[in-house]
Amino acid sequence: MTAPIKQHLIDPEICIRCYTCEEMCPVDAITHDDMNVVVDVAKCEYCMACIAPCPTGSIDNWRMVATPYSLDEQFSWDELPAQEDLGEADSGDLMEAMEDEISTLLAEAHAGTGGKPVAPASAAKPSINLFSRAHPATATMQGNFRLTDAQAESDVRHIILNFGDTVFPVLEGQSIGIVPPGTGENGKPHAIRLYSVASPRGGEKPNANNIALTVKREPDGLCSNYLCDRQKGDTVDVTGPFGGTFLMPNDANANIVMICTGTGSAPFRAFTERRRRAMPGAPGELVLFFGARRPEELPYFGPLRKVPASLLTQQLVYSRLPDRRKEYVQDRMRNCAGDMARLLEDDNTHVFICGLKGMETGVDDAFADICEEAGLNWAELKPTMRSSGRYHVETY
Amino acid sequence: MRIDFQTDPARYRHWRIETDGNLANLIMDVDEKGGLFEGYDLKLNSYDLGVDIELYDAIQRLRFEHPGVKVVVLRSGKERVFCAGANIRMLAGAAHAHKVNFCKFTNETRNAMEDASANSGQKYLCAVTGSCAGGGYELALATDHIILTDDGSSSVSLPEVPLLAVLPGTGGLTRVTDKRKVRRDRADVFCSTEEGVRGGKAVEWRLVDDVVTNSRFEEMVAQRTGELAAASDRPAGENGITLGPLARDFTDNGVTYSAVEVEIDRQSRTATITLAGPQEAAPGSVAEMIAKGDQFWPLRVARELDDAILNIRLNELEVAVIQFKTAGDGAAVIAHDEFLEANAGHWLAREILLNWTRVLKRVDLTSRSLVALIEPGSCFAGTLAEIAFACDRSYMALGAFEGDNRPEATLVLSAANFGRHPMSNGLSRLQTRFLGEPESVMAANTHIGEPLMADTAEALGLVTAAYDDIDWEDEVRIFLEERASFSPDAMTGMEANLRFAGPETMETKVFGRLTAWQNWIFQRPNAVGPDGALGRYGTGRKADFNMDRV
Amino acid sequence: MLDTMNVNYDTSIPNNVGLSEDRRILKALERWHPGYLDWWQDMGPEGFQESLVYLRTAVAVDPKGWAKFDYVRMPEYRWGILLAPQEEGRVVPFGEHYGEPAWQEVPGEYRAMLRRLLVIQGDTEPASVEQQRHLGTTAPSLYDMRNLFQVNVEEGRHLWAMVYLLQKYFGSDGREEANGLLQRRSGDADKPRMLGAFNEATPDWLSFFMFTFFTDRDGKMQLEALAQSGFDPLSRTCRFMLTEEAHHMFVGETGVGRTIQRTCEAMNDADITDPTDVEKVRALGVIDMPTLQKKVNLHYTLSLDLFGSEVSTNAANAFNSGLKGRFHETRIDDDHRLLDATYPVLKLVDGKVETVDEPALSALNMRLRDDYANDAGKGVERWNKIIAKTGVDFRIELPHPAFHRHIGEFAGANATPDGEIISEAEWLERRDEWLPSDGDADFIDSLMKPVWEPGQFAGWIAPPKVGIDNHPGDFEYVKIEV
Repeated sequence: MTAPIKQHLIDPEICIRCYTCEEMCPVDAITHDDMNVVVDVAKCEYCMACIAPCPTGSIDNWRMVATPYSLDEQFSWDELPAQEDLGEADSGDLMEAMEDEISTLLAEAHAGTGGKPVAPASAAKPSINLFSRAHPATATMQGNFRLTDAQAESDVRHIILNFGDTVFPVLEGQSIGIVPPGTGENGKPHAIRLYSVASPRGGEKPNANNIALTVKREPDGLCSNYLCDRQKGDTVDVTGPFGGTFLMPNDANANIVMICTGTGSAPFRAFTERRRRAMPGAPGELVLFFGARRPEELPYFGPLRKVPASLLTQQLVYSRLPDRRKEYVQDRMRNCAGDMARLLEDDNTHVFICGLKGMETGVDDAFADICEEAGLNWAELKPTMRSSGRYHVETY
Repeated sequence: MRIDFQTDPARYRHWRIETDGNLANLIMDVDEKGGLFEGYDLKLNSYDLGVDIELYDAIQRLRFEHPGVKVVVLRSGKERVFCAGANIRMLAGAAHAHKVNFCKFTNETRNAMEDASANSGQKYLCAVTGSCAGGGYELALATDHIILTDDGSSSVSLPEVPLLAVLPGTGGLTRVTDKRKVRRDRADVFCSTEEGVRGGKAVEWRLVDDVVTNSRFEEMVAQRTGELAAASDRPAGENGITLGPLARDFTDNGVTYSAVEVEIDRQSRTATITLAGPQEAAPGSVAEMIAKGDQFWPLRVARELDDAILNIRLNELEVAVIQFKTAGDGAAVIAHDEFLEANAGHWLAREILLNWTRVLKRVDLTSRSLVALIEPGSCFAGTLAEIAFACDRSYMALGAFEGDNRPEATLVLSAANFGRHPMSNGLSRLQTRFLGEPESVMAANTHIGEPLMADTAEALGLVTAAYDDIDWEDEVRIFLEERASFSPDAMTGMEANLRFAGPETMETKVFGRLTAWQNWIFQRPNAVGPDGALGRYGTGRKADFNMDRV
Repeated sequence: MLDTMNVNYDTSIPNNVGLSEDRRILKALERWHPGYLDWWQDMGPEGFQESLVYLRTAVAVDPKGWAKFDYVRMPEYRWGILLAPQEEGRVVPFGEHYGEPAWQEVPGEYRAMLRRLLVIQGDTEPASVEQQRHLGTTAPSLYDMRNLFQVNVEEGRHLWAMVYLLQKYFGSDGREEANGLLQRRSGDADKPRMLGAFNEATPDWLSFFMFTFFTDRDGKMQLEALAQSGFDPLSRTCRFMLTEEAHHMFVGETGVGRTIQRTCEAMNDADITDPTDVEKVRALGVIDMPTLQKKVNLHYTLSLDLFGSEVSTNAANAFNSGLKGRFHETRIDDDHRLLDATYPVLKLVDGKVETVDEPALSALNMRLRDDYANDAGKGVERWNKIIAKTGVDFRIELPHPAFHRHIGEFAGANATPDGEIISEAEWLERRDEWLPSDGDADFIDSLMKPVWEPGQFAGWIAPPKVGIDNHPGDFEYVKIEV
């Protein structure tokens, strides 16, 4: 038996036969007869160009199939067939299993959420998988600035990639993949590395068609060194965008609690910039817990000082200040227990945690303590927040 | 198929007359399927001759049957279109002669509207709602006052040049410049812009008098009709007379009316129209005249003559010469003339006199060779003598004819011959005849009421020639044969040139330019050739012009 | 290089036509802009101008960028000038100039004709916003309300599209016409919109759905025909508008479909098997099938009138000149000139409905109308599938083109929905069997009660199968109180 494949299908009950998808398809994979609009599995390249323009949503249907449905079969349908039983585990899981290496990376990063991640209800719909390893987008290095002090041990950089004429829409919270050139010792291409986007939708400056990344040079990191060494004008292959759940709520009433360390600050820079740009007077609060060893090593330390308190409440926490007790983000959270409890009780509050895996436990414990003190039950609250798209973890 | 000019409101398919006190609404609501010929639909209130025949009838009736109507409001019965003008498919399909006669008739009808306003106190107001294009706007131009609705889309236009490569055929160009006095450069823009002009610009450019929103439209119409009515001298409280159907009898070679006889000799291509003088004495009072109504001789014979002329124009294309004859008592004719002259201030007498003016103009404008044969027993007196002066030539019988016991031929002049019935050029026929010798008019004037024998008439210059019975028959025959042998085109051109000596008026310009320019353009391949604009109209294909300027 | 794919927000007017380099047209548009905003405030959706609405906005004209969703206050919607990407080497695809390079500027001799086409098309866009401005207050759900507003803002953008062409290519006349588009008002006695159907009120949501299904479909066909134009900027404009127009078709088709669905379900729940038992069905608070059929009869025939006379000189001229083509012109296999071809036209000949062959060039309105009828008919069949699936014994049928017509061959004729010619007296007597009566309208009106709870729907309409932008059923598509 051949391996099942994921087939793109159109729901004939919902489709209104406007043929917009047919016009959009760059490879003429979509066609119609008097009855139905159908997708030719032999031609479809899964480029997703047809998905957004569909006015009905009927275009966004997928089935795992052992034998793909022929055009004639599709023409004859009054309704979509149910997912066939392929004799394996749940077909939904199977479908996810079919996703490329990226899904695995994301799933690992989101594991700390403690369940199936759900996007915030008010989040905009992200574009996903527009560019792949086979068809990457080419970006030009527009800027490469060191964020940490020249004397500091860690080298964290602010990298700006420009996409020129290529449309590469991202939302705050999404990631992109960087494809390092060349192959490894085993002859396989190097693995793609994911980086959270540090700029808001629309670019570093409005309509710039570029995105920013926060990249830390790792001593033996193939990809981080590759990126950090690029000079202005060099080109980089990019895949993505990726990520459909760790997204910024669009609701102006949303309170957003952002907890991060190191380069985990990238998405929160994007969140903050987005709110500053799109809804500066929003009633919802932004609260940032940001941990680093010392100010010289805190990415964006300078710029953060210019962000007004009315937009963002900043809790910058340092663990290696001379003459000071070590302080971690969870410690500062406990210090702010009153405000934290008030926020947790509010249905408009969203919690985002981003950084190293190691921070998860400490932060989780802090939440539990804060809740207990306030008469709340974190064990119950967390899954509720998660399933309503208000609790997000992305760690690595 | 014979085109008939007789109709009445009960038979109208395209118009309605709705009277309301001293006001009448004349509503154009053309029946698409009511075309005179096959092959076109009268869409968007477009018209053909059949539609205009009804309009002509309506205008006549408004004058005779509705003396109390001081203002006629021309309206459209259709939504969003006032009138799209002459039907283009009809024009494209029609023979040249039909087109010309159609244009001439529509011009005469519009002139009749202006005549009603100028001479009979019956004013016309045009209430334009919707697009008013080509002949539609020309219809509006013939009225005293144009009100255009300001709804953002209603417009007036003369699209003939850009759309059809012809000219407006019903006086549009002349009335834009001479009546409405639109500046020449604006007129140039207006006449070469297919979609025309709407809103405030239409007033600014003098193309219409008022522009007003839909909701205030009727208020404005009421205000303007009130002003026009105040300036009218038409009587209140008078009943009209009914214009009954004409007593007619058509045969293969002619028509017999009560006082007019038409005989057509197809061999010689001659039509003879004989008018009978009154059998009865002139009425003693206005009341008696009113009682006679449409049977009153001067009115009856004028209506019959009008119908006879129109019938020949449209249905007897091959007739080259019309010879006019009369029979009856000249004194009785003069008695009627005098009665009308004495009561010219009465509305009905006035209408009858003005109607004669229009009928005589119709004779002037008929493109056939016209000859009057003033024979023994005839009654070319006063109004009927005016017919002789309308002719290209007149021959008078000299002395008694052997074997003919009728009275010798005489010609009698009356006030009718001295300015009562001006031609299109604004002059009387005798003034025009003696343009270079005004003293001859004075001389003739001294003979008013006197039966003039042929030698005197010839001496006064009132007839072309006087022949005795020896020469009469041959001279007349030779004239008719010669005339019928000439090129009909050359005849039309020559006669039209010679008939209208003297000054230009708006009317002479309208007809002169119609004959000259429009007839030229109507013949040119750029308009009527297989690839011309008229021929290609409606096919979607562009006309293919010969770009040489001539 | 001019970026024609992404929308440029450098100027006050988002665009992909290089407005920032074209100061003249930018200035003209900037002068028009305040008037447009005033018009939107005066005539746009009443009572919801401050609400946050979950709308899609284009950030680019290629598939990846033009459907971005976000909460927006309607007056802040990013109306702009968006043209589909230019095709290299495009030629005039029909008419006398067939095969010549497509025009990037207006040919002088066609200027007036083209301007008229644009003004007529442009006039319909704001008209429908005006017709629908009171519907928000009776929306059967936030989902439907959002769809209404999406339709409205896109009609507004379509107006921008036409205004751009008028101002860019038609000089001072074009500017005057652009202003005129803001001055006319649907249904206003003094300044009515140009086409009859756009001066009729859209009094209730069923009418709105029928309007978007039938009347906007006429708009779609007209755009399809203009998208073929040899005047390339018009073609590109219309091609992009069509992608937006698809949403309007969707709103209409699913709106009526959901109404049908709800009626059938309610009948089944109440064990009513006779769909013509109007009283019983209405007692359930749903719209009975015969009334739905009457609404179809009404809106379909009003929309047929929008195609104009079957045989039309204007249509012939527009085609021959290369300005307005046929539906899917480039997919038709013929000479694309039509000089000798004929096309069958339905006509009233001596009181009988007959098919007469007319020159194809002058029968283009008939042809486009046929394509329309075919397209609409398929949608109706999908409604019939919904009915059949519930087991209710009823079929919705499109009436005969001779029925209830005011323009063209059958204007003034009295015909039954089957196309049988009848007397005036019979027509008057039976009219209410075929067209909505005052009583029908009152009943529909009685159901029009607002439902503004997220995820809730009025009792006469079923929820949609899929949310907009894949959102769950209880998504708050419109935040009314902000």
